[in-house]
Amino acid sequence: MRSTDVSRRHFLRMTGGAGLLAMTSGTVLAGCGGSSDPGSVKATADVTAPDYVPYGLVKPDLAATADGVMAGYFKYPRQLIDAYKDKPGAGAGDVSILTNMFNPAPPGVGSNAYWKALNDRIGANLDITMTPAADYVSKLSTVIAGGDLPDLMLIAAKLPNRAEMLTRLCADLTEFVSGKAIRDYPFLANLPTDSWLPAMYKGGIYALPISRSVIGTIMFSRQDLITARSLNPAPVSFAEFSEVARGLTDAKANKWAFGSPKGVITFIGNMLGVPNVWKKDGDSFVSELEVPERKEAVARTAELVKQGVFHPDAIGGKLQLRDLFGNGTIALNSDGYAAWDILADTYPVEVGAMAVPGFDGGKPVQREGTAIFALTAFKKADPDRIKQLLRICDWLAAPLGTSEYMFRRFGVEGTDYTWKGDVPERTGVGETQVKLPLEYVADAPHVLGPSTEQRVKAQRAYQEKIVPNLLANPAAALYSATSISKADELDKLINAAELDIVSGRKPIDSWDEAVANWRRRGGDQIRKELAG
Amino acid sequence: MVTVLPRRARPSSKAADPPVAGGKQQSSAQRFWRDRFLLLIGLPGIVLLILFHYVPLLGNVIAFKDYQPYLTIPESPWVGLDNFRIVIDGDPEFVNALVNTLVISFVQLVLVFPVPIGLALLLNSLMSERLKRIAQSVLYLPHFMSWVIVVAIFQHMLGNAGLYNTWARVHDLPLLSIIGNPDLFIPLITSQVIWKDAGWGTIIFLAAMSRVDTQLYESVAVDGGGRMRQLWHVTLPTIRPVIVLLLILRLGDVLSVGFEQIFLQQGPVGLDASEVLDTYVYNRGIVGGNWGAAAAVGLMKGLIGTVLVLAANKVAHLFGERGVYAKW
Repeated sequence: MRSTDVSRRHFLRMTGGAGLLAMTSGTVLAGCGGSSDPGSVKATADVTAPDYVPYGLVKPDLAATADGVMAGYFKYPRQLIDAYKDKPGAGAGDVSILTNMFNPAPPGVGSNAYWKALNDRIGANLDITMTPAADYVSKLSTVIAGGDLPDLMLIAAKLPNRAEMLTRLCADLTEFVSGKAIRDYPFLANLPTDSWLPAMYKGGIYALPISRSVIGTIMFSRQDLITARSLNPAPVSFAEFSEVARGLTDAKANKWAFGSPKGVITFIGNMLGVPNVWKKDGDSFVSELEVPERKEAVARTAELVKQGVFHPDAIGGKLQLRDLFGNGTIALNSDGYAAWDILADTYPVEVGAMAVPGFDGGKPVQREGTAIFALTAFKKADPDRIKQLLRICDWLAAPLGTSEYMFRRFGVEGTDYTWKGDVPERTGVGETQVKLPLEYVADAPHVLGPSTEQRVKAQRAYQEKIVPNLLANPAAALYSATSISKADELDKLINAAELDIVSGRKPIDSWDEAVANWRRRGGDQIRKELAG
Repeated sequence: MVTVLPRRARPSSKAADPPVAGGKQQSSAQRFWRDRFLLLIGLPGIVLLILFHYVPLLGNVIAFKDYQPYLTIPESPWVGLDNFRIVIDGDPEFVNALVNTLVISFVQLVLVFPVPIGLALLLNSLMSERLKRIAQSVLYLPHFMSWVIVVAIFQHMLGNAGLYNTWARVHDLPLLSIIGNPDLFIPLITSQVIWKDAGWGTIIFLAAMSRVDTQLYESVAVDGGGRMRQLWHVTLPTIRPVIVLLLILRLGDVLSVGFEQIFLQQGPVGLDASEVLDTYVYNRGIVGGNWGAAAAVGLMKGLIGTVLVLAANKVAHLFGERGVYAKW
């Protein structure tokens, strides 16, 4: 099922990207793809992407590879560099920021010494509005409709009419970041080219990317629970996979295999070789929804639900999946690759990752992750203001090895964290205060670690195992206005149909009706636009 | 309610102020001057009302435009009645939302509306003041919980992984499938509404009942009437205007059936069973980006509500009730 098309990532690998990558270790080639990724070759042909200047400050213990395995670090460097000698936002005054967050909100600036210290180091008052990620699109839409934009705002990948929002309402950053101009901001220049493409529209660059690696989504497993029940941690077929799921379930003890059907559908779809959003068929495109394997993945998930291996409130419930995973109520949970460290750091459990097996033992696929999490756009302002804001973002994107990075992640040494050997350990104060969602304003490209050698090696082993199976989305580099503006509506339609089927409310044949509905409501239009 | 009061107050204020210039009607300027302090006190309220209720009404103009947030309202192109197509052509999802709304609304009108009246009658018949206070406090309390809390409580008690079902699973007893069961969705939300707001709803009826002249009860007793007679011939007729008033106001809300409560519980039961007009407007407009169409549906909803209030008021007048406002 692997696409033979040249994906953007492959393209990058064949051209400058790989060469640059070889030049500097410690950098990661970000992936591309994803349903709502509008990075557009057609729409961006007449603008030069920002130069990619990898910033390799610290030599990794395990180097990145050209096919997407991330660099790994076993410990935090103790020799830190001050990337900025001055205050990047000096004179910027109040800077309002709207972004999302996944953890409970930290104390406000009035009672948060870390926030004050941050403002002091940046030289401006960061006024950050933090919205729970689940409500972010609604919040952002409302703010935009209200017309009073913040200086910096996270543009969610699923925002309806993203292209128009960016080009009409947000500042055109082209003259500041295109080509060589980006070199004024060395840490933004450290963001891989792929992740910039979704920010480029109609001959301009309208936002900064929050870049993500090609690794995508992982089926995390409670390694300790699997071992305790003597189950197979690495099933090689669907049959073995469902056996593990049944083995992990103990209804009377309130123990379940899964907490949400969506990730399981995708996982089983990967076993069956379902395309990554689109499949090229001659000059035309076939949606993943239209292949029989996708329907089978839903049917198989419904079977698993019937077998009782899902948490009873899994269907459409708003469960705190990470907490349930951490306390052992569920043992398998699909989440973004970056959740590995979050899970392992938050809960005292052994986190493992289950590589997708072939359905009958054959070769599976692994969906390439999208190149970005989201974009950060700027409110229209005079060039000096934009430059100030860019410098603030550049400061926030300072990578491992800089004092800025340590401050952003851990706060002030002695107050917010202390060194225990080579490991920075958060104090109680740091635990509550250093929780600002700055990584959703601007961030350096991800690396593995720094954490224990054991964990980084486990992460590497997983990545090396799945990278050969990576499947790109052949439409990732194509532009479809409908796919962006209707993304949320169409997703909802399909999600609702999936829930109806896996919950047993509707028979599996209702899937065809839902797909027909999807075609009518915009699917066919997207296909037409992709075929161009 | 608000409009009733000034009209009732007027005759008495006239009586208090002896007519100027020998019984001649005051000119409006004179009356304005006389009431200047009252008007001044009312001014902030009026300003707030205009600012936050009437000015935003102008935004309804996007129902006739292809509004997009990246354009301003004046820049968005006019599309006439295009946005109303989903209403006129009967878009299946819209129809589903409308039907759900009407069914839920009807069920709630029949089942929820009388509960506070009955509860108020029961409370009113309690002799011990102390007991009455305690009962009232207990009954009012749920009103002050937000829907998020109420829904969470129900989820934790009755959910598939809730208190009962977890216990039942351990003891091999039959499980209750209430939360997440589309067939029970309407009974579930209706009982939530009763649990949360029935106690609060008694306040206004209790106030009305407290106005009953106790001599009337005595008369009934003297004539040999029992409790039921007292209820039927004295209490209910006294609170009838209040019942009618609240019923009319409730009709105006007939197409609003608790956005928050339903939105929070849509996931497990699916949209077929749970989509109502309010959630439809939200899902289409704010989440889906179809602002114009959502505004059109919202506008229709408002118009229907207004018509219902006016019509119900008319009917009330025909039956000799005062209604929300007196005849014009």
